[in-house]
Amino acid sequence: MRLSSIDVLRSLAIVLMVVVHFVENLSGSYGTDGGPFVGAHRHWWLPTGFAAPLFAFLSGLSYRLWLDGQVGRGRDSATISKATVRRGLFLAMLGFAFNVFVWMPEDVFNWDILTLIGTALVALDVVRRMPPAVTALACGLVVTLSPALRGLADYPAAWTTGHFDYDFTLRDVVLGFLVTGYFPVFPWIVFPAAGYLAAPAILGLRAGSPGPARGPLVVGAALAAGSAVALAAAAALPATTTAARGWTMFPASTAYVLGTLGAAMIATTVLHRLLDGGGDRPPVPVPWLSSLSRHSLSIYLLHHLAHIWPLWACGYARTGEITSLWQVAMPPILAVACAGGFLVVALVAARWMDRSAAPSAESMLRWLSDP
Amino acid sequence: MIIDGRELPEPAGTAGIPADAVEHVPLPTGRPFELAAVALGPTAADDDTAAVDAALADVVARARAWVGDDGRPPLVVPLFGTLTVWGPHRTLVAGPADRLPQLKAAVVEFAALDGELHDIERHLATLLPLVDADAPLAFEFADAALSRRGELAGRFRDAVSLRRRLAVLAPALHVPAPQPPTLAGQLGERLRERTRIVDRAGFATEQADLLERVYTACGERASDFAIARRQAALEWTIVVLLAAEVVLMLVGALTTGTT
Repeated sequence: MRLSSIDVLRSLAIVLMVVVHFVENLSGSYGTDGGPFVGAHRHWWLPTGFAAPLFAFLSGLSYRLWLDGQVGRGRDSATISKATVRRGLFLAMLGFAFNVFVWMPEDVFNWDILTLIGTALVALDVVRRMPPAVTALACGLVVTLSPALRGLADYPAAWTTGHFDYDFTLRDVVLGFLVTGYFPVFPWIVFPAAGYLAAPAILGLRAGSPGPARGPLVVGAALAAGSAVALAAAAALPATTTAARGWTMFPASTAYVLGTLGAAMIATTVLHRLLDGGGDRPPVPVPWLSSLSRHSLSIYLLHHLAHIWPLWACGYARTGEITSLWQVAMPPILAVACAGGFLVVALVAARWMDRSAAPSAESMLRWLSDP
Repeated sequence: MIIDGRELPEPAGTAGIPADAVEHVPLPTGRPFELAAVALGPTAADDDTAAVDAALADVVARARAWVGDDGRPPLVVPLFGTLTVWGPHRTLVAGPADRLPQLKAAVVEFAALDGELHDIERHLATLLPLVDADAPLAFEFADAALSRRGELAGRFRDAVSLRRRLAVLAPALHVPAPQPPTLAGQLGERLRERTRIVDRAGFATEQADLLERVYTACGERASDFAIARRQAALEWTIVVLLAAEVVLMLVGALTTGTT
């Protein structure tokens, strides 16, 4: 079942992600004030920090829709589990391969978004057997424990000049996966789990349900309020070196997690009501965005190849050091233009792939994983 | 007048039945019931058998037209010089004026029993087709069916209510006819036999039993499922807390192991 609301939001996440990555990697080493590209020195106009939570939240929501489809087709639980774990492992392996081929072999365990979503899919196979209240409790525990775990793991020690910098040791790899990586399980697993948990209420999937309820809006607003409280509390507390303070994505502070989760929940609920029809209203078709959304995995992979590989090649050709142009290749405005150009090409390519049924990362995922 | 989706035929006056002979009798089920009593007195033509037969045939034809056919054709019960044309919504009794009160009493008593059974049968007819869809839940309950618990509980209540009504009805149906025989008792017996009311009550009891069995089992499965779910929630909560503790220990061990 394709829903226009999910297609629109996933497309928005892709657009944000492409723009942010192009600017960060091609021109992001210095902020507008000339400072280093970390923390408050990021470009103020760059919409960083919204794409990944939205993407992860939608992965949980989409998994619930997929799961309902599988159950509707009469697939038994074991078959669904096999397909889920295969999907998760495929994404995790693809994530490792992506890290090796795009970010160099030494970054294979940087725990990027693909490994997170792969892990999350495997976790969702457990979550789907858990009572919803326990899943909610687990999400609360993850959010609550994450700052403490970062403190235990000495998060700042794993980061150098705004980037995850680990050693090839079991300790660093495991801690990166759990706490200190780019998208560690703590707290990022909350987004897909919350998407899975909220899907029935947001999309009105319960049998006999008349449609989306107000619950998700109320919960979303409560999470946003919780984010504001966390921000206020962070400002009032004494500064420490380990606790994530204020609104930060790396590490994902409590305010950031609650705020982005609340925003994702509200946006999905509102768009579902506006776009997906219901009652006498027909759904609003979004064919182009639907194509973009359907091929989001391919676009995620391609957009890195499209700007990172040329960056490495040019850097190597000019200086013999492949990373020499990283974050200094061009001014931000040119990077935004490149991102726009890529998005236009990606849109046309996604439509073409839809019409010609050309092989893609998504078709390979289905071929390998689905029963 | 429309009863149970069917329109009764023409009103009393136009069918040749005197309008003032019709009485509206309220039945316990709330269903309207019309009872017409027509006195047949001795006439000069009583010695002429052919004339008497023709007159009776005319009365019967008029009565049948008035009583109507709601799927069950009217029953004509001649008894000791009286005539009863029975229908579930309208009945006509005809006979000597001094016997009409006994006939009316017998008809009203029977109409109450038949009306009650008819109402039970109607409810059973609406519930029975649902059994096939609900029967799997009597064997195994599932998450998807949790939202239907109220609906199933409602059907269980309906089934028990129907079974209770049948239990109350049964003694009245099986009450022996008075001895020595009376006109009212004989008419009641005839009507019971001709409408097969005892057999119908037996079938209805079997059907209500079936419903009760299915929805009792559904209730037990739903209750067991809810209890198991609560236990599972507790077990999962413990698992989640243990997992959180393991993560804390693991991170703590990894950190302290190198410092």
